Amino acid sequence: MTNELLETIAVSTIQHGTVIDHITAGNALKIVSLLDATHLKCEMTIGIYLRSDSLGHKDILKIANWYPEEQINKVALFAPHATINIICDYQVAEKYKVLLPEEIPINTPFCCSNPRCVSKVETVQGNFKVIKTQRVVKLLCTYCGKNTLLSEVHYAEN
Amino acid sequence: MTTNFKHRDILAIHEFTKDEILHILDHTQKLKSQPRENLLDRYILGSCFYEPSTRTRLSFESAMHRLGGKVIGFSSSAQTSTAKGESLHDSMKMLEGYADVVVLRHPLDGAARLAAEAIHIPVINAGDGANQHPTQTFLDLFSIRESQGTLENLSIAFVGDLKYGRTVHSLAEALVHFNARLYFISETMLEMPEPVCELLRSRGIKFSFHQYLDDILPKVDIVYMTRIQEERFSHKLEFEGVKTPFCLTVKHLKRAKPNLKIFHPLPRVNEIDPQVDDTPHAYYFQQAQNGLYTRQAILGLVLGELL
Repeated sequence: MTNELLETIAVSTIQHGTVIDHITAGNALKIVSLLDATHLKCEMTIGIYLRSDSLGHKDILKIANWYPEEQINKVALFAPHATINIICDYQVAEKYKVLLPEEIPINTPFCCSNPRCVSKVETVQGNFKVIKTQRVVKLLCTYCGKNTLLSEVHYAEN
Repeated sequence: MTTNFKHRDILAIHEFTKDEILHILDHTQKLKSQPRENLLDRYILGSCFYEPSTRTRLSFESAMHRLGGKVIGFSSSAQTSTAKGESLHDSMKMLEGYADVVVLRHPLDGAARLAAEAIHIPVINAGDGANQHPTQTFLDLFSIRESQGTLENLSIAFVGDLKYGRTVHSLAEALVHFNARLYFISETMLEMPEPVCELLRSRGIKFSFHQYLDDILPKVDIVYMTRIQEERFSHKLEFEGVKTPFCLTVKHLKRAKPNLKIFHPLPRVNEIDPQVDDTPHAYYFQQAQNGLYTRQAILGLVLGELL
């Protein structure tokens, strides 16, 4: 069996739906929370710390009978190398890489790390712009103007 | 270039282009030279100060009165329904029904932007936490131009609390438009924050860090003194770790350039010796007075009565 065929089988063991592959190892559950996937009422398979030729190790997320919305690129925050595979009849019908968005959608559960930010007290959704430098990704809170490293942003679990 | 300020929120200095800044300064000059007593006589200002203020609140209220307008509002959160648990959002929605423009000072960073999102009338940020104080920056720029004859290519020293001082953050950001050379004089724990420095670097503005005022004073056109802001420190121990703050005296001025002017956003505590007041270098009281005309200009512009 060829490597390509093996990979196809590994990726597409759902009949219809979406496979998010090449998730940074250990971040699959963050992606589940980011997509609010537990409320989708779709069959979901999560693979954690699987071997990967390109990444060394990866996570993978398969959601049956679900297709990504426009804001799928927010996945890139936790999985910059992620690949979105659209599955039809067990075959990969479409495949594309996520791109880091310029803004974080307003319903994404990030919390500003500034203890003096008004978003800590008032009932507002955190609103962030993504700032990518050569080495790091930062989130800029549009309320208080403070930059926080993506790795240090507080994340409100569902 | 057309500069349309009608219904615009005034939240942060980095949202203004060089032309827009100069437009505000030009209107400030016009109003200082030729007062207009009835310019805003059909408008009401909502003056919302959730934390103490003297100069800013009084200058906004005076500005509105002197333009023929009226003022409603409050000068502390104790006078509001905050104690009953009302959110800032709801307070602003209520005020939207009573006033034509809101001036807001609040202890939390980003409060002005939240208010602006909640309501359709213009919101003018009069200081939100340690974040921004854009109208102070406009009056600072006006005063610098007035005292030096130009804003371009000046050498400016910022002294004191550069970490929590929103006035110095805003002014440094604005000066990127004017090719200033900046000197930051402070204790290590109160240095100018990295995000401001990053912006300066990205715009090719030269700046340097220093611990002693004496070395720098002979080189600069403006010295901007600031108070150590105890109320902004997260922990009392951090504040108590600050050594004796800088104090500018007449002795320092012996080596000053003839055109040197001393600025301070006030209130001062002990950063400037009172004997400095009588020297030709002192400019902080004129600076405070210019706040009246600057705020008149901003009110007139956002209400659409100045073009």
